[in-house]
Amino acid sequence: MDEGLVIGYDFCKDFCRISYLDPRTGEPADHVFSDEQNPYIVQNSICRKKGSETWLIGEAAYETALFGDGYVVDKLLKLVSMDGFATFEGRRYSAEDLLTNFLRVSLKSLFDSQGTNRVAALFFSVQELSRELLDTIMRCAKRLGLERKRVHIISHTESFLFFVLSQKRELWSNLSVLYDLSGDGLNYYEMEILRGMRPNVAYARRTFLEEGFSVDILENPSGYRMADNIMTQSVERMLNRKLISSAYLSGNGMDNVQAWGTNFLKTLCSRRKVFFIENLFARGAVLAAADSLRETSAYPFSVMCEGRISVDITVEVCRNLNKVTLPLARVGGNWYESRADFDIIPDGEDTLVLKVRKLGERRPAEIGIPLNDIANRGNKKTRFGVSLAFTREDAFRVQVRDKGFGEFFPSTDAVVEKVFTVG
Amino acid sequence: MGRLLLCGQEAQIPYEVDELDLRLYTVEELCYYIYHYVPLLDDDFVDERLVRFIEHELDRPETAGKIRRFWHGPSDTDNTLYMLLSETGYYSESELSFFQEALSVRRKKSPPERALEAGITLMGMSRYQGALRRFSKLTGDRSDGRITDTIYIKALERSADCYGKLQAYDRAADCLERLYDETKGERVLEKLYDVCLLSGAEPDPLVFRKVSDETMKKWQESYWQTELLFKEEAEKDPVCQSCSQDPVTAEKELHAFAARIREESRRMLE
Repeated sequence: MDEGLVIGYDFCKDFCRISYLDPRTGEPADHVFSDEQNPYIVQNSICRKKGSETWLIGEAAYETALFGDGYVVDKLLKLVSMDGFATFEGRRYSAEDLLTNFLRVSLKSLFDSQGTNRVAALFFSVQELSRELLDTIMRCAKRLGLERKRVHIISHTESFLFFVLSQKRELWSNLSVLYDLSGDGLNYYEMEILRGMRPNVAYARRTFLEEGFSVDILENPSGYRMADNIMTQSVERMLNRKLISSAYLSGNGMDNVQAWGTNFLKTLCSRRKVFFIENLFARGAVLAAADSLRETSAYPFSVMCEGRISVDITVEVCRNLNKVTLPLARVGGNWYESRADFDIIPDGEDTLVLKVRKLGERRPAEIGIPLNDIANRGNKKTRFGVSLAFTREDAFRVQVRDKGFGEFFPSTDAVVEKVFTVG
Repeated sequence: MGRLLLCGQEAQIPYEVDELDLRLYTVEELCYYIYHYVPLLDDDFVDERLVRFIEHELDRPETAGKIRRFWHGPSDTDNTLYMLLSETGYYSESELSFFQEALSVRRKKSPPERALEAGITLMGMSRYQGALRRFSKLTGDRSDGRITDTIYIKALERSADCYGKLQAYDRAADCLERLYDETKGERVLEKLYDVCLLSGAEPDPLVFRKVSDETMKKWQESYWQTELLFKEEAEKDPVCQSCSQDPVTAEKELHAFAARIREESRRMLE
C-alpha cells in the first residue's frame, strides 16, 4: 500500500468530519478537532482575521468574528452551489478560495495530529454529487497540492455501503439500513447484496424522507415527542416485513436519540442489531479509500449506488490484427471518473457504434454516430479522436473530433458532440 | 463489413523523412508512407533510427524486437517491411499482397533503375532537390555498368527539367548540352534554346550551327506563345495581383519577385 494517510472526509451541509485509517489497528479512527462538546465535528465556517491572511474554522471562526477580530462566512457548500463570494477588507474571495482555505486548515489539523502531511488517499463523502461541487472540490484539492489520482469523491450512500461491507458478514447477510438525521435532513439508506449476477452486486440507495424534521426541534419535550412519533412511524413503514441484518443511526440529530426517541428505538431494536455510529460516512469513506489502494478489492462485488453508473459501454474495434471489445465504462464505476479517450481509423465503416448494456439486461442497446458527417476524405485517411465522459450518473457525452491523418491530410478540427441518457 | 482500427500511440518526437520534409507521428502514418512510397524506400530505410522510433516513440517494443531479430541486412528489407505492415493490421490481406507485388517488381529492377524511379517520383511531388540528388548518382561517374544509356539519358533529361523548375538555367543548360552530345536530338536543342531565352543568355551559335533559321524562328515563336500563356496565368496569381497597377512598376516588381525566387533556388542548390 502507498505510504501516507488514508483519509475519509465527510462534508455535510453544516459540519464536516474527518476519519483516517489507524495504522496500528487497521481500522478507521476519528480525528479530534477540538475539546468542544462534540470534538469530532467542525462547523463549515471560516474566518479571516482582520489585517492578515490567517484563517480559522469552526467554533474558532465564530468566536473570532464575535469579538470583532475577523470576518466569518459559513454554509460553505451553499456558497459553492451559488458560485458566491465574500469580500473582506476590499479583497474578494470566491467560494472556491474559501473552500480551499477551509480544507487547508481542517486537513492541517489532521496532519499536525498525525505528524505527517503525506496523503495516500483522500476520499470526500458528500450527500449530493453535483458536477459543480465535484469540480470545485477537485480544483481545491489541486490547489492544495494533492495528486489527482489520490483524491476521489463519493456519495454518502457509497460511504454507507463500504462501511457496512467492512462489518462482519452476518451484519449484511440480509438488508442493512441507516437513518441519518442532520442538517441535510432525514435520510434513509438501505444496502443489500443482489445475488444471481456475476459478480454479485452490492446495492445501496438513499431515500430522503419528506416527513423529516429539523434537528432544531430537539430542544424541548414537545419536539422530542414529535420526533419520536415521526421516527417510529417511519420505522414501521420502511422496515415492515423486511429482513434486517443490522440497523445504523448517524448524524448529529441522533446524538441524544436515547433522550428523545424512546419508542423509536424500541421499535427499531426489536429483534435487530442497532448501532449508533456518529462518523459513519467519514469512516465509510476511509474504508473505500483503503480499498482503492489494494491491488484487488477486498469486496468481491460490483458496487451499485448513488454516484455509480449502471451501464457497461463498449465498442468493437480492431487492435493490430485482433478484434477486441474495448470497455469505455463499467457498471459500478464512479460516474465522475468514468471516461474514455481513444482514437480510431474507420476502414470501410462509416459509423461509430457504441453498445450500452444496463445492469441486469442481457442484450445491449446500440448507439450509432455517423462519421462521414464529420470528415470524409477516403478510406483509412482520417483519425477520429473519441472522448466519452459522464455528465451525471445517468447521462454521458460522446465527442468525436476529426484529427486528420498526420501531415498527409491535415485535420479540420470538426467536432460532433452528442449527449445520451441512460433510460 | 467494415471495422474500426484502434490507433496506436502518437509520437512526441516524430520520424522525419527529410527527402519529403515530412514528419510521421503514428504507426498508421508510417505504414501509409511505406505502402504509398515504395520507390523511395532504399535498402537502408530499415535502420536503428527507425527501430528506435517504433520502440520508444510508438511504444511498440515487441515489433521493434522482431525487426531487430529479423533484419540482418539489405536483403531482408522487403520482408521486414512486409512484416511491419502486417503486424499493425492497418492494411488488409489483399492490400498486403498488392504491396508485396510492388516490392517484388521493384526488387527486380537494378539499383540505377530504382534510383531513376525514385527521382521521378520525387519530381512528381515537386521535390526537385531530392530528385536531383537521386539523378546525380546516375549522371556522374558512368563506371557502374548498370547505368545503361537509357537510364543515363533519362536522368539527364529529368535533371534538366528539375533545374528548370528551380530556375537554375545555367545548370539546366549544362544538362541539355550533355544530353545533346549523347542523343543529337533536335528536341533537346529546342529545349536548350528555350532555356537560353529564359535565362536571357545568347544562344551559342556553335551549339545551334546545325539548326536552320526557319526552325529557330519556329522555336522562337513557340517560346513567346508559351511565355504569353504563362504571363496570363501569372497575372491571375494573387502575388501578381497584389503588385502595383502601373505596368512599368508592376513589370519591375514581377522581375524582382522572380529574381528573388531564382536566388533562393540557387542558394538551395549550393
